Amino acid sequence: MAETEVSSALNSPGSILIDGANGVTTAPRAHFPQAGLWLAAAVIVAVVVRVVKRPAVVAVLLVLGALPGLVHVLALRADAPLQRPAMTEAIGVTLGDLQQRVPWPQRQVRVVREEDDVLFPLGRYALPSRPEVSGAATELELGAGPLGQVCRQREERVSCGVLP
Amino acid sequence: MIALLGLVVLQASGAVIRQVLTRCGWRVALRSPSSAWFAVVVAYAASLGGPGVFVLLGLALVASQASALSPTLSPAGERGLLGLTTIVLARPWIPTQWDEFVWLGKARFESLGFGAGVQAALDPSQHLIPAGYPPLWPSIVGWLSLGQDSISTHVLAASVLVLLCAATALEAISAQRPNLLAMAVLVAAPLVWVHARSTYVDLPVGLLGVAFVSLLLSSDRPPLLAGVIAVVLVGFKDDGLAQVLAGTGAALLVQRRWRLALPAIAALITTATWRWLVHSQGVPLFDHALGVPQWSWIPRLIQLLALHASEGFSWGVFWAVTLGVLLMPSKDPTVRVLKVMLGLLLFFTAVALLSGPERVRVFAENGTLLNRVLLQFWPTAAFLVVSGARAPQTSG
Repeated sequence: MAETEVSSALNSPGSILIDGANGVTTAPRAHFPQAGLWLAAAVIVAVVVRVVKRPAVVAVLLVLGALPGLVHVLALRADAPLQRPAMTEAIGVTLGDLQQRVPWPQRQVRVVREEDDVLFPLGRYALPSRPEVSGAATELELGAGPLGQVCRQREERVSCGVLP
Repeated sequence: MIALLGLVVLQASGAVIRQVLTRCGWRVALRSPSSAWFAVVVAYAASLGGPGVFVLLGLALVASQASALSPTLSPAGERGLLGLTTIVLARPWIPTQWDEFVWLGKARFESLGFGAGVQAALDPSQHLIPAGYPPLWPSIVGWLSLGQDSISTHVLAASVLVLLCAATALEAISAQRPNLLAMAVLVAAPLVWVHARSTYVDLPVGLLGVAFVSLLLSSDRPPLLAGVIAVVLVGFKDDGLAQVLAGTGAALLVQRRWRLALPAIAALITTATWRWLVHSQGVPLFDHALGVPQWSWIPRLIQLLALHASEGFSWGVFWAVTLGVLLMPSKDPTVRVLKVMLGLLLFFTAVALLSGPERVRVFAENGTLLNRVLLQFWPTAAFLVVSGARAPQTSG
């Protein structure tokens, strides 16, 4: 596999969590570094389909065109079938610990810091509602990743991830 | 596994409602996967409280003119669904992608009581995100979970919901034994398989969209199921309204039968009811508020769509093939409707992006929006390619 293709793989749990739904690789977030190649191929294929008009030719083109992406989906991505269990275990460790420390809706929690990183969506599952809390409450800080680690707690402050 | 019991409950209750309303026969009602949606819309209307009666009135309008048609899943469709179920469910039942956590988090409200999700969505002090979105998808996940507050149960429930949408689409298009082209279309877009094993709402919206337009084409008068699916679509996401309007517009342009508009009217009533509730409760509506169109962004939108659609790792050459099929002349009425529907979906998307808040254009620019929009288009485009690439062509 060419280095550029491997380097565009979403091959870490964090990259899957952030961008896994937006594309098979990092291409959309990286503003399509191979755009010229893909656009040229697309034009050629569209013309061939329009001119040839044979279902068998269309079928072959579709399957061949899918192969590069399917390699990523089936093998290179961190959520590929053989890699997914490790990723979900890492998510489970962090999310389980978070839910145990700030059980919803039983405990009053005030989110005092929330970075726009991998712990953000886990925090949104753990605490789907965020009403204003007055008085005593557990304070929660959600920093940047990584997944697979538990939070730290000091008195009534729970801190997760890397904080500035 | 509680989610499977929840599915049985939903299917059984939906079958009862469907049989009472349509007299389709108990065998059809119980075996048809789309019967579950009848229970969903009744539950949705109930969860909205008093204003939910408007949802039911919209469906009553459809029912007053509905055909008795009740499609059933073919043996080939059943086998395809079994294979798809294996692929979709054979994974750890833990989310792995950003929005899965956000949407499944909202399903947790149903563990507090029926309709708690709707109440929370209409309470600005709860600060749900994204604010103002219709709550049906997470509500159904919660209902299928029978109130159990467990992430694995929620993921299984949401995955079952994805399969229910696929089953509804297979049933509505009368899926037969797939030929070589259909098999190729199914594997052609790798990103579709990523989303099939996820619990995002975009692929389900597209699947129900193609089911909806297929039902409109199935008879002179739309079956009540078309109205039910239209209501479900707009309950899932505002994007569902685009599917309903595009499918309706395409069907009307080609078939010109006014009754085909009735399901869309039911969907508009449902949308208006939700928007009125959101507005009256003071919930902010950020993403889907429309303003002055940013016309100068049109060239950039065209460029972004071309870049996203041609990117080979996510889409292979699927959209290039779709373009080739779009350019083939055809007299097949189904092909013509699907072509118009795709065009209308593109148009409505452009309107939403050009007239929406700046943040949606930022999402489009940074690669976190347009591929999910294309996922909503995929089922209709896939049906078009399968139908259009082998349909009899006009000369030239």
